[in-house]
Amino acid sequence: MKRRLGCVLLVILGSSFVWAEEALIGDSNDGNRYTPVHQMQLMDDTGIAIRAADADAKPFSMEKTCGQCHTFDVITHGWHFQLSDPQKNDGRPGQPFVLADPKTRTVLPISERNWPGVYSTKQLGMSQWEFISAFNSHIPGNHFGKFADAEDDPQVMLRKEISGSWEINCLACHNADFRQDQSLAALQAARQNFRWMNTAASGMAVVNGTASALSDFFDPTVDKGITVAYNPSIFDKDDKVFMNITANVPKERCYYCHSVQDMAVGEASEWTRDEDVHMHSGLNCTDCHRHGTDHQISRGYETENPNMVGFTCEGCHLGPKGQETAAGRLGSPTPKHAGIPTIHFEKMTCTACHSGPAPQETAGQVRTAGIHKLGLHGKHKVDMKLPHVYEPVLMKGQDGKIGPYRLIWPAFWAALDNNEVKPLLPRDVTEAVSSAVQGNEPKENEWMTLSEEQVTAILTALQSDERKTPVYICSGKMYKLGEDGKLLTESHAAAAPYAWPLAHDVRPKDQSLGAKSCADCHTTDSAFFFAKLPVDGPVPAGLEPVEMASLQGVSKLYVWAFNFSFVFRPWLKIVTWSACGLIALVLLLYGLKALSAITRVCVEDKA
Amino acid sequence: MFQWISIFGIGAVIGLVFLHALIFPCGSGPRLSATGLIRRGVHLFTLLFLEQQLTWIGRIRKLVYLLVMLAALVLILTGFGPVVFGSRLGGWLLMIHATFAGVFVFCMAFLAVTWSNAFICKAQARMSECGCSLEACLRKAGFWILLLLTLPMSVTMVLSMYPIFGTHGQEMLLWIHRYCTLCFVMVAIAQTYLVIRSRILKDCKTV
Repeated sequence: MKRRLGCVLLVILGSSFVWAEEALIGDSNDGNRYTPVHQMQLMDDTGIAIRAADADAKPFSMEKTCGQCHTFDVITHGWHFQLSDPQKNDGRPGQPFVLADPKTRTVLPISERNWPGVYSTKQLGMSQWEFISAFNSHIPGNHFGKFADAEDDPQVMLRKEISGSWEINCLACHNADFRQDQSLAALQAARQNFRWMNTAASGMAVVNGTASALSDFFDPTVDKGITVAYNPSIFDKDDKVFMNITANVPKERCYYCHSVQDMAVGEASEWTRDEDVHMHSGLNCTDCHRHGTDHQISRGYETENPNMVGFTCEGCHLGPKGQETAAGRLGSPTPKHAGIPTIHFEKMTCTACHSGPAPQETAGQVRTAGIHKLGLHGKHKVDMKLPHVYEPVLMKGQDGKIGPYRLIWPAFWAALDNNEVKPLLPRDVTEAVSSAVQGNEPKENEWMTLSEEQVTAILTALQSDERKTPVYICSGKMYKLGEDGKLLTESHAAAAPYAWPLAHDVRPKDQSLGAKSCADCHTTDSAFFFAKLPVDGPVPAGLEPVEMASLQGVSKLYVWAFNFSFVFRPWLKIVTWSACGLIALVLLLYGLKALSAITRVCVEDKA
Repeated sequence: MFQWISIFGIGAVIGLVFLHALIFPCGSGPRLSATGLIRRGVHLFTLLFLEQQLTWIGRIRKLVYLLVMLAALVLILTGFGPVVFGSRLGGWLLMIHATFAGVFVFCMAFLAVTWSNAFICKAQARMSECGCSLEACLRKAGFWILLLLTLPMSVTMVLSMYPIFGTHGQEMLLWIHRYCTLCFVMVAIAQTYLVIRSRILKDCKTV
């Protein structure tokens, strides 16, 4: 009997294991390049099919709907959804979330990835609900959206039941239907309609209601607060819905989160700007930034992943090292780089010469979709100026190469504990700041200045724990109070600017640095080495700009002298050609003489 | 690779020169005593001076010769120094290298014009009877080899400054420059040794 029971248990366990490992129909590709038609049933978050005749229709769930054919759990570990994911890979530093609060003079880079210069929500004591509330406009869904830490806050526990969880929005990228509206998704997120936002954004239904306006005691299973009205024409006779799904994600989908606005170009002149040269050549973002079912997207840098080197600049244009025959993928031209010494390729990234706006006398300012919430077109549109993001900043990166970067100067109040800086969130300092700067003009989205007296007053107000010293980080410096209560400035690693590499837009080759001549960079006043990077912050004292050379780890004197030596390069060429000509003539002359002598000797010998 | 080839090549030539100097000593007096070494050192030092019997062109030629020796020394130190230590030429050293390269090639051209005639073999009835000792033949051949090597050494680097050669071409030019320079240095050490040796022998005969 016991043996039989054991066998049954074994069979059950075995079959459940097989079931867990079983791949779904959409997890792989049998080699046919035809796009499968996505005519399917919409499922709500309980796994029940949504029908056209439903009187009280529910929003569809991505996990349940797409999960019919795709193993959702694999997708959720993809690069875009890795916030708080224990399986996340950090990769090289990228654009962080930036908490910008003009009132408390805060610009705080936040990321769950282990990048130097950013702070995790755990370090900040920021709940997942707070994080989602702060950055809800440009997130494609993630682990934070499940609000796993809600138990710590009863209020969040209640609100989570009303708003639902923030699922990954597959349609944000894969919906080729032009009705896909991420701006509307952001509006729904701002209303805390997390359960409904993906449905509303799909263009298939109209969502009415605002979760944030509902009472804490609202019961979503009984009460009617938020309604969904599907467009009846989307359903066929079997209540299936056609979704225009594409694996070749249109660039417009990427642009929603990855657009960058050059502040030197006014909004009215935005149409004059060119896109990345690859786009004009007919490529799409996903031609290089590819991934498999795991959604581990190629970020396009050499050291990322040995399997993805083919999707880097070098991989396409030159072929990965040792596989040079693979050059020219997607019709990419093989660069000749005529006259450019190879040391340039050892010391600089491809993007240093080819990407971003050409360097000017002073680094320009840009706004990015993710940080400045660009692309919101409804009543929730904002016009954020902070933080000030500078580009191109030509500096040495973690890979030891000089490349173009975007950069922000962090500014935040913090507690200094054993020389470790622990940032304080705006909510923790609002009171102290407000009491010290009452006289200030309200100036939303731009730096409101802080005098050193005001910094002193705020730091004094924040002094509560004797073990922790309140400090203010801004403009690359750390302000703190001395023992006599006077304001001191110190340097600290936490005050260093946060920078992340930029790769787009790639300029046409004739606009690349070095395409015209060496003088594109090697002059005594070239922007590449001597452009000024403004130092940014609310305290106006001591904001001397920084030169690029100092960020490149080279001596300014050396760079100046080296560039100055290019003045003499034509002379060196003339001297060398003349000298070589003379030597060649002498060799020719005596060579002929020797030949003549040999001939004479041969003749005499014969005689 | 080039690091080890250059270390071995230059080391071998220097070793051979020392060996030759030990086996076939030149000059008079005791060889390994302190006074002998000082005397030889002083003698070598006096070779740098301008002799009174030199004509004005001879004096200029000697000055240029000394200058080319200095330039070559700087170029060898700045060029091979980083290579020996496993790095590559760059920074201030590159600037010094490029500056002295111009001086060097100019001086080589001057020597080619003014000194070449002194390094030709007089034609004799038979090829095997040029009338020179083996050392003299080697010295003369060395001079011509040095002149010949100066051309690819210099031209490769000047060509790399024009937008003609791509990445592979640039690498090839650098490769040619490096190996020609290595050959040049090896020949230059041997040739300089032979020139000094001939001068010492000549001075000893005069005395």
